[in-house]
Amino acid sequence: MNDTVFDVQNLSVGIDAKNIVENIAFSLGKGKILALVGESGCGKSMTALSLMKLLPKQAVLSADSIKLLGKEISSYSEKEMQQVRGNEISIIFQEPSSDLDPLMTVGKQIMEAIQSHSHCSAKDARGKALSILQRVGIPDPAERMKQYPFELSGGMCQRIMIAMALVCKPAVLLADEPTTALDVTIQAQILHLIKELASDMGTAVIIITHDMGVVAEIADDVAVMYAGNIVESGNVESIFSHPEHPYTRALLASIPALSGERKQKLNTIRGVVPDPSAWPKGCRFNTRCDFAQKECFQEIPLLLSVGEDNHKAACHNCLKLQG
Amino acid sequence: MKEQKRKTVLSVKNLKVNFPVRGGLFGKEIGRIHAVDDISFDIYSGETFGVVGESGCGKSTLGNAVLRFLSPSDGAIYFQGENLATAGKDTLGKVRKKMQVIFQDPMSSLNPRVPVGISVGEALKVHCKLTRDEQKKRVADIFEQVGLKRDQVNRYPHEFSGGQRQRIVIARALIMNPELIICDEPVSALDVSIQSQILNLLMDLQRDRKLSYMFISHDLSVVRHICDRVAVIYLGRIVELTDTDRLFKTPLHPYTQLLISAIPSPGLKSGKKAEPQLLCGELPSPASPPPGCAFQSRCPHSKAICREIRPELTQSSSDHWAACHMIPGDKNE
Amino acid sequence: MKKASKNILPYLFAFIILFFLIAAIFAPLIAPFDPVKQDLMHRLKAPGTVTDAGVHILGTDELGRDLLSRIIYGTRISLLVAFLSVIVSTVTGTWLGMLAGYYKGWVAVLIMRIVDIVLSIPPILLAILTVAVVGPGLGNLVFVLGFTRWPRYARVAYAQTLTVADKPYVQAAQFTSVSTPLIFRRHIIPNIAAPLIVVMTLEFGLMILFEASLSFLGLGVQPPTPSWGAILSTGRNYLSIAWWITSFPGFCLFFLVLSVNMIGDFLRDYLDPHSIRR
Repeated sequence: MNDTVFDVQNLSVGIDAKNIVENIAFSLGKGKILALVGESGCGKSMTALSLMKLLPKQAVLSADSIKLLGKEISSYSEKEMQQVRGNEISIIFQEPSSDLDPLMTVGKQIMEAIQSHSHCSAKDARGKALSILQRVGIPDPAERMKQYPFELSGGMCQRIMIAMALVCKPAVLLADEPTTALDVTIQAQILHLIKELASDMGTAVIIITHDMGVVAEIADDVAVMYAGNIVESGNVESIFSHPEHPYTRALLASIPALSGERKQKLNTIRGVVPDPSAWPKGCRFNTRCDFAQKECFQEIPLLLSVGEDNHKAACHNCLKLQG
Repeated sequence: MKEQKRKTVLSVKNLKVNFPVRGGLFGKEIGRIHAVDDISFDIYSGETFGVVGESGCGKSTLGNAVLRFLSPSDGAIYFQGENLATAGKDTLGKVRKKMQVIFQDPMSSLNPRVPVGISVGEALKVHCKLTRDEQKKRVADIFEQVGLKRDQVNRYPHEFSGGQRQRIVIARALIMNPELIICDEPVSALDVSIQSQILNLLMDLQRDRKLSYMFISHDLSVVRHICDRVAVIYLGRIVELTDTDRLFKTPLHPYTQLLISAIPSPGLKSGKKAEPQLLCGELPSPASPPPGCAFQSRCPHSKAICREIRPELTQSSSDHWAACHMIPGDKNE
Repeated sequence: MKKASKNILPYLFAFIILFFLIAAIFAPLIAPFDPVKQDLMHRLKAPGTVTDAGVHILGTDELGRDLLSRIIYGTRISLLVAFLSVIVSTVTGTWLGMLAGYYKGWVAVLIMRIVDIVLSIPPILLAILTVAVVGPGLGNLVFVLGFTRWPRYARVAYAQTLTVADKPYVQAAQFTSVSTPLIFRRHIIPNIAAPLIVVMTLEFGLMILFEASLSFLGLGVQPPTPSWGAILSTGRNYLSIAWWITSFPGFCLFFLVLSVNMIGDFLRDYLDPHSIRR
């Protein structure tokens, strides 16, 4: 397929000679939205940072290949990465208000972002900023540009972050929990905006979230992460309609539904996520899995196909059922 | 009605909480924020009463006023035959044995420098004349009931995970056998799989101990699951109040309708789901709410009357109350 | 944290402090001579001079007193004054700061305005005034130092208490009618202690310097009681002919204050809640 914009093979991140993220592989087409979903401590944010090569100093990144628009960026130096960041790949974070400079008007910040990537006059930059603010649905952009971040609400700030991330029309947008700090009504607006931008501008989006609802709302493809691994991946319909991995199933069952019986006992996953320093041998979910068998304690299951549409799962039991 | 037979645990009448807005060089009062504006409701014995709304709508202020962490400006809060709104320190201390609280953040709910057993047993020491051994036994018993081990009482908070810490906080709330627990976003800081454990625990405890909860949350799917009746709050006022099934099946107020449609839910995806209705605009500042209906600035159905007259909370059918001019049941007035 | 325990520097500085502490406590056993006994025959002798009485390792001063013995006894005064004044200012400052942070409102306004006022009085001026009124001496010295330095603790305690008092665990304790003294003792003091301990160590170093400067000005401990500041002060007159009288107490002052400050910095990192909670 030619419209693959981002392709990652066998990416791992290690800290103190311990891998906290392992064997991450996915590929992402133009205008598609991939959701990396998992509970806190599963390594999803680390994965996002590693894709931008923004890892903390003590972390070591290794990958067979990270291909962005056909270019192999895994061997890029910091200087080369700076060219890539912002131009071809951008990131937005959970807390928009803390990523904006509180002492600078938002207009100035956006214009600065525009001018740092393309050499244009202040007037052109202003025009561009206005149009992009309009594009992300900010009412009265000329007036907003004069305001400081503290004068804007969380939803507005997140729109501005998205605007800044999109100034150079990047091929890939990384969104790390972009709506976690926002209210449901605002969250719905922002998700709608991201979806629209992906389909209109052809930006591929990787959204990192813990919220299965957000995934269902926005994603085309899903990768469920547990203890540093992708345990299940596939398109969003197949994952939600027939999840294969016991973790995915348990996770979906533990969310209170909006239809059906109320006050029922919710499904739970016993125990807690194991610490990276004490990951169990074999399948990492074996300490909490109801179906764990002997081989689950010995061999790490590989992420293998379990159905059509690229539906893959890393579970010994799923493979057996497949025959 | 069966409602009449049920015992009322907490009764809030026309509660108002105002905060002054100060400005200028000398901090002169230039206005008032009506964080809680004329709210009334009853909580019955053994039920979970949900309070939902967006951040800044006043739901936590309401909880804090009921707990008397802050003083209401007007109105009454009846609990155990006392009016908490005007009660003095002694009455509060006496009444509060039967009312407890669970906070959102399990990290800051426990003193990091004190063994958790001491935090849990603190109320026993104040209110009951027990020997040291009896106290220890009560604490260990309660630990067992919330799904922890008896010998974990001597550990410090940092040795526990977030979910376990929330269990400890629940244990602290239960130690005096309260009738009512105010839960302020008790599961929003937890991962889904842990969240479901805590919700199950809360439901089990309610069944076994006939507890009542006032459950403050922004998460509608959690509220739907655990609550019996729900009040939807917008800018300090209740806009809709009814039992949970009715609220989610036939929401009357446009705000409730939009709120429900905005919930991202994996369950809905399987069917052909309509695009969620998007609520335009954002919560207006509580310091300068729009005239008339507070929701008119964002409401898709707003008419001239909405901009002038503030709709009162009126009963549209039995036990279904809403504050909106556009509701059919309202017209026959 | 791990990084700190691998670092040997804190141990070195702790050792230096311990060294001075031992010197102060066991001064009568260690000092080779009586620190106030004059020997006018052997005035201003250079370090290493041998007399009938023995070896003056660090030489003698203008009255023929053994410099080493005087420095060792001076350590006592320096550490004692610093210790007592730190205790006085910590207790006063922490209490007032905590009260202000816990009760807020007019209590806070009153206390914090007093803090501002006290901080605007030059300590040396206050010292001169106090000495003028009640006369010099060790007790008065401690009083002056304690009185001028408590606002710093009050400010730290105030800021810390403000954040801690709003924590849900304090609210929960208030809610269950736990008595206020117990809330302070159990929930507030342990959680504001770390930054205060850091301030205490840094202030300790400062107090040693203050004592020296006040004694240097003749406002501190009175002769013939040896104190580092007093030795420096008199030695100044003989700087051109007897460099040792000012140099050795100066070195001691430098090393002790440096060590205390370094330990303070180390404690600041070590007690930082972010490093405790992994």
